[in-house]
Amino acid sequence: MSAQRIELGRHVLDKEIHDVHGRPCGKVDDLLIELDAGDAHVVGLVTGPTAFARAIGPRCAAVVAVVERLLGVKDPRPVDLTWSTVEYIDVGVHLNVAEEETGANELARVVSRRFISRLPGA
Amino acid sequence: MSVRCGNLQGAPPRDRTQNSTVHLHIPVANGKSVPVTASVKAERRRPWRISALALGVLASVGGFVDMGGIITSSQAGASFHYALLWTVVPGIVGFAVYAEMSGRIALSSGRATFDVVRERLGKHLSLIPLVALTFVNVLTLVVEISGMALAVRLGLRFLPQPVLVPLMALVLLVLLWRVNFELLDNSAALLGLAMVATVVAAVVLRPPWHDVAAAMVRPSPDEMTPTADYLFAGISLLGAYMTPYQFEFYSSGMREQEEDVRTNWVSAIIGTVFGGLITIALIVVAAQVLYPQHQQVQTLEDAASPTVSALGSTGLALFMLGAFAVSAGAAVEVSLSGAYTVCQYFGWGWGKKPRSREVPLFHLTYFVMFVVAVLVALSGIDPIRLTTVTMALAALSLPFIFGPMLIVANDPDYMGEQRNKLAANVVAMIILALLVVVTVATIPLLVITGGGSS
Amino acid sequence: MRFRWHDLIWKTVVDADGRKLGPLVDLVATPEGEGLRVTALLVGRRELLHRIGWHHIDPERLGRRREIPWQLVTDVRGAVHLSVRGDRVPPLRSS
Repeated sequence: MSAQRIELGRHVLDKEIHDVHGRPCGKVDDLLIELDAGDAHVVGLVTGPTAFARAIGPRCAAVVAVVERLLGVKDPRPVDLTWSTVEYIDVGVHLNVAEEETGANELARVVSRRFISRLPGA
Repeated sequence: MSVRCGNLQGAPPRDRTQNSTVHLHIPVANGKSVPVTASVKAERRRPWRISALALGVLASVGGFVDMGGIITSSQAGASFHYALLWTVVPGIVGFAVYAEMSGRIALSSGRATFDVVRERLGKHLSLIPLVALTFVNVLTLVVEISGMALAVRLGLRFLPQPVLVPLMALVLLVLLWRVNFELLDNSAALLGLAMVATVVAAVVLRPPWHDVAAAMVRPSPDEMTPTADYLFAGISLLGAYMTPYQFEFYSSGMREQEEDVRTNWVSAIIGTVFGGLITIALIVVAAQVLYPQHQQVQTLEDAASPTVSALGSTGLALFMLGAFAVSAGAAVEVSLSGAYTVCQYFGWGWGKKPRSREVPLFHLTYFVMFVVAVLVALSGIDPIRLTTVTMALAALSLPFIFGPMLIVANDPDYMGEQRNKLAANVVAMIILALLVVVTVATIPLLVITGGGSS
Repeated sequence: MRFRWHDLIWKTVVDADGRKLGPLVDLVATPEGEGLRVTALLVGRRELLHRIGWHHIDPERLGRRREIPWQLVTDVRGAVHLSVRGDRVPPLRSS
């Protein structure tokens, strides 16, 4: 069994994240990298609109935070997922936990609760 | 177990019963063994499904002919006689090639186009097609909603546009929310077949078919020197044939309806050729009736008048019904397509199949698009003028959408054996090159012609 | 010390003499324990073409890549600094 070669930008970043039930939880917007005594380890994934906006630029981050607050997200922030929650990666990143445990999809939950589920027939 | 992320590993089985395979697999969790090649969706080959084929054809006709197509084609015939007929050929070829490609990407990677585009280009580069597409999508939605209102006013002139526009938008929103989307889209496409009236009108008007055929294959310089207005009209036509939302809609619809490759291909071809016929008819009837009178197309009535002069009040009724239905169908498609694009880019749940509360951001996205579109439509902008400008902008945005699609369709990591063949690449590159020229030309032309206000 | 991917990527890679080798475009990693260990840097703009998959179209010209072992990295503040001179950095290699 030879070592697996993963190019992070090409094979991990910007992939869709699915929870243990296959439900979408956003994209891999950023990665957490721990530098320690000359070694570097990827310790987690970062996702969510705030994480995305931060990667684009500070101005975008400010705008996105305002929009999220307007929609009803109380404390918009990037969602960190530790690497141990990653089950495997193919065309997407598959987690071994349920979406609710991760805190991803906060925006969707808020929009669903405040707007969509109030409409008749939702 | 090694993971090579290139084309060596996970070449999909030759067995044609499986046409959708993941070509990359990285098991990471603590030594758990996971199969190297995972089948996302092992699809059984189905017999020809006539219904699926028919629906695909109808959808393609609806995609090819919409308000943008009706206006730009009629304007082309009225202003330049047959001299822009040749654009139908690259229009049909480009539409068919890229529609098929986008369907194939969805089928073989198991994911919709924009999902793959973001992953392949990264979040920064793929932001360009996202913004271009979303901008054009909203404008197209304005065009189609205004088109529905204009079509209603062809018969019921006493209803004012500012009342009809929000009413149409509201009706569409309620239908989108409550009615099965396929039913909605298919009935719109079926009613849109009333546009065949223009083909009948073209036959009745007895144009010199020999000249029509000749104009199809060569730009007619003897008839028309290429002025800025001529080029601008040609660009708008190309944008109308290949309006960007169609490709995303096509691939996402494929994911939702679980089509197969063959049905995809055949329905794209037949539907597009059929749509092309209606387009040719629109140009020809305008050339027969409006061109000799030096009458420009400034309203939807102008566009309808050749059909009316050939077929009388039946022609008017059919044109009205057809124009209304194709606009409604296109409005539904462009709003869904716009929402698909945004959701796929951000990795939000999307689709009409899941319950609404499970994909709230999908519904929110098209709600917002409708609100913006109605506001733009009510701002007092001339809908016909907006149509030509939007179609030119659509052409301008196409290279930013086709380019990434071409990159993905050539990537064996996603496509496996379904990746582009040489012939498809050559044709796709020619169309892309034409569009790049068009893109470079559009901005100065928009300035020179003042948005086609000749 | 924790970094985000976007803090690192596109930083200029600089050798021991201060010579610029190009932007950091991607990182290579391998699974290890609970995480992934970063093993190498991919440097230079041509890597970007690699990332969008151009090597499938033009493998001859784009087959060679500049991959630098992570062990050579001394610091990532400001730029990515290497412990060796540019001529000691492993040459372009065929992928």
